[in-house]
Amino acid sequence: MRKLKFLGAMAAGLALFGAGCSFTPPGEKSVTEGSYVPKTADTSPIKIGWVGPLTGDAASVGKDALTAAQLAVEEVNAAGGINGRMLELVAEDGKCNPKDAATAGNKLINVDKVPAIVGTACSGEMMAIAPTAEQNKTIMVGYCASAPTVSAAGDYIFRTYPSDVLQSKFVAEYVYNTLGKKKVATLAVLGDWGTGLKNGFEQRFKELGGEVVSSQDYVQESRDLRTQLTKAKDSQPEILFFVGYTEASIAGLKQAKELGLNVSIIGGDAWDDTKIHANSFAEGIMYSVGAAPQYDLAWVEKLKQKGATTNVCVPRSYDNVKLLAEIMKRTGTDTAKIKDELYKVQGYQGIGGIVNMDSNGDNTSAQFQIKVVKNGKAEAAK
Amino acid sequence: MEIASAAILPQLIVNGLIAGAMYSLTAAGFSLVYATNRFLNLAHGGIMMVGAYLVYTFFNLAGLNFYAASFLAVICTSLFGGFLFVSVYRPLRQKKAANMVMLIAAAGLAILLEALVTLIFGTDVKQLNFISVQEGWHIAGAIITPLQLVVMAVSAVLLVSFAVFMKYSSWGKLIRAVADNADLARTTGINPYAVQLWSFVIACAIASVAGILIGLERNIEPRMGLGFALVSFASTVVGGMGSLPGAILGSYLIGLAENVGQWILPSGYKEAIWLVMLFLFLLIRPSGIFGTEQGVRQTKL
Amino acid sequence: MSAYFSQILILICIYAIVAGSLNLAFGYTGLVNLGHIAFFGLGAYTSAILTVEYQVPFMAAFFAAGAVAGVFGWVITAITSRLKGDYFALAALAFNFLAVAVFLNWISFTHGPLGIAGVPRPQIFGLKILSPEGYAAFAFLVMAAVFLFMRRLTASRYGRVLEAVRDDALGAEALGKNVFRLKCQCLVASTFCAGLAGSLFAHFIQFIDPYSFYLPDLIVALTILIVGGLASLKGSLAGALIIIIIPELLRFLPIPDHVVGPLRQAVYSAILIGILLVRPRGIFGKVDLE
Repeated sequence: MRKLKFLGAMAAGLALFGAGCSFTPPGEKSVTEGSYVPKTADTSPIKIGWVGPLTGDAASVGKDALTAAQLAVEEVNAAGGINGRMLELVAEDGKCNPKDAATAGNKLINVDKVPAIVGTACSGEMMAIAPTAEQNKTIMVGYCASAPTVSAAGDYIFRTYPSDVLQSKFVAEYVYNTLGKKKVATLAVLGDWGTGLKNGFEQRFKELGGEVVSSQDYVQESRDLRTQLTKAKDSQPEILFFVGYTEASIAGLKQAKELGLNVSIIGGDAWDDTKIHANSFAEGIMYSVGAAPQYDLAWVEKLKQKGATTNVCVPRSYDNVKLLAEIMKRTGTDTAKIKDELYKVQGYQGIGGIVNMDSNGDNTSAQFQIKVVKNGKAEAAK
Repeated sequence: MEIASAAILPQLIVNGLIAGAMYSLTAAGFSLVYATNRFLNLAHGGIMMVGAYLVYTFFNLAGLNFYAASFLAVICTSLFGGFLFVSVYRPLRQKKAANMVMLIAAAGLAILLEALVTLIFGTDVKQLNFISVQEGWHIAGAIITPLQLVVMAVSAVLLVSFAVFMKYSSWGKLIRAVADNADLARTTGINPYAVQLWSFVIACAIASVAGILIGLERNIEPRMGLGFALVSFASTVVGGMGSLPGAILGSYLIGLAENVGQWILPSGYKEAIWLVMLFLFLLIRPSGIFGTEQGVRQTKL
Repeated sequence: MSAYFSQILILICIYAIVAGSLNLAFGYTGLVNLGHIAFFGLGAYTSAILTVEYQVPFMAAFFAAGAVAGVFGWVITAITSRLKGDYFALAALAFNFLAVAVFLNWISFTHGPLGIAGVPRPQIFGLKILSPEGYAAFAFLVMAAVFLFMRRLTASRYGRVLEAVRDDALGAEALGKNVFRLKCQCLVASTFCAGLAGSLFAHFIQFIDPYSFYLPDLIVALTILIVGGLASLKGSLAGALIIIIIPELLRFLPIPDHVVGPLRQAVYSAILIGILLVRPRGIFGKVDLE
């Protein structure tokens, strides 16, 4: 029975470990903290969490988004913080996978006791943190999670990034109505974002009366899309809808050129990345992206000074910090109040466009526009 | 399910050959290490990635001539590989570590290399931009670019030199002796340590050539190594564990299967195709095409 | 704070079961099952699909998870019966890759890359476990039960027969032991436990996707096994404790945000290599596999 003793010792040890730290029933957190807001000038910093992929396949997306969030925090603090209290960003690596995101979220929620988390980038991360966040009444505001499933993740779960459903409909209508193309080939990365966009696009395109002549997938790590492109070329489409992240897209667009696939190519919002635009083979590609009334070049310049370029996840990571800061100036750190305020957000103007929250915590004002790459630079299509 | 027209078959075959040639570049070194050192070096992809980042450093950042940069990268990667062998793998072997422990150490090393490169260079994709991109040459109903022809040529040179060098040169005989039975080789006066070290360094040199070519063809990322390490492993099994030409031919078989297979199957199954192939080979012919061990090797991993 | 420790304890319990059951096959019987995480995944998917799609009660889904993993464990031993040593390990690893490819592509059943969301928290005899503390207690009970079972198994005469199979299969056969049947039984027991751990995982994270059951987790499980030591259940427990807690501790070091991810990964892998270099046998290891 030595084993039993060992188990017992381990249990006792952990119990002591836990007991040494103060027990705070998770449910009461918001009440105790919330009622103290700034009565006596509290100058302790307010921690807010940030989760996104800092290692792994999607790390390039996460790193720049984190820089943008840090920029936002600096700006908020330079302008006096939240009623005199400074913001402090605590970033954790979600690795774009549920397990690591869950442990990251656990630490932010239960140890740092952040009132709100800016995150996440990947829908899988979002879904894994959401149950804990919901239970502890911690706000989450996704900046890039776009899968339709996130809508129903919980009361405290928001996102400023539009659900894929909206974007795919927009692109399908643009291709069919504006461009007048009736035969399309699709090629998308397997994953919540890519598969979601592709399915939505194909459904809407067929409803409109168009024909999907070829429908191809690839896994996220794949950098050899030659055979998929060969099949797409063989189906003689009028246009190719190519959904991919930066890395695979640079490889895929190059291969399309090499294979002589000379049709128009239209992509998703991940193509809003200057690393793609700079390539000769990217000339003429189109992509959809959230419409901002004017592209804020001064902001892009500020990011550049911090060594980051903008990509699809960057603007909303910045916006979410600013949005939360603005709300907390009114509500303090009481998460129930922040939540109520978030549901009321209408017409908030961020770098990534307008935010209008609906009752699911989704941004409905997804206005999109099509951009086209000309001379290595993206510009709005007519 | 859509079945594509037969007109694309030549292109699919060429796509398969290109993919096979790319895989063979890393599979060659991977299998050389397995043959002499008897462990699956999962860090081999990571070493290839280091080679690619070195050429990026010398060519794009330091502004050297591309060929000089490549030469330097090969030298540095080989030295680095030797360092890894002497500082990690060799001490483990001296402690009589099981092959399984070696495998885990290699996996740890692969993660470490990726993390270090990410810390230095960041996570974003790097492009060498040495060759301008244009439509490839039309040959026999298929399209292929000059760079891809170079990749295939390098792969062919590796195949022939492995086949000839291993069989006839004295070094090749040494390697084969150690590969067959290191203890027996020792009793005949061979120093297995030296053979293992040199094989590892040569494998790293080949890996850096692979890194340069793969970098030109598919760009450079911290994560680029892992997939190649896995395909190298599969190629080595299909071709026959411990058979160097086998690993190269195995790479082509996998490249062809996953590309030509998409003629009938949906493209989402691309990876599944070679996985099924790997699994079937292990069940039906575990010794692979050229292996001679008949699936009974008792050394535990 | 207690919620934070509870969640870490849950992960420790889950990975202790995964590594401990792998140890049963690997350390005690010499079956180098590199596909162990596939069975963990099979358990997770079984439990998630049953509770989400078919509203099966938790306890039924929990044991079904073990059963499905166990059945696949039996199938794998049966079809790989000719393979030994290296080759069994490779086939098992290939099986793991294949399982992930199926999770990814069998979209109508597994939701493919979108994963399965909203896996409910367990409800046992009308009692719904909502708090992390409650779930930790439940996970701890499961782990204790699994380890007691494995302890009974390995400490018995049967366990010594298994070790004989590991050290000298031919000798065991000569003594009239049916080696194939023993291996089968051992792998079924091992994968059954992995399946239970999978179910615990699915209902804890409440969201699963194919990439949760891939190489990174295999490396975690193997690391726990090696750090703790082969053929030592105590070692697997200690290993799980160490390997899960190290990355958590690293969270609290003052590291700048933008390097925190890769630096944590670098430190973690350096520690792993360091342990291997200093003590390749692991903390409580009894046997060397050469």
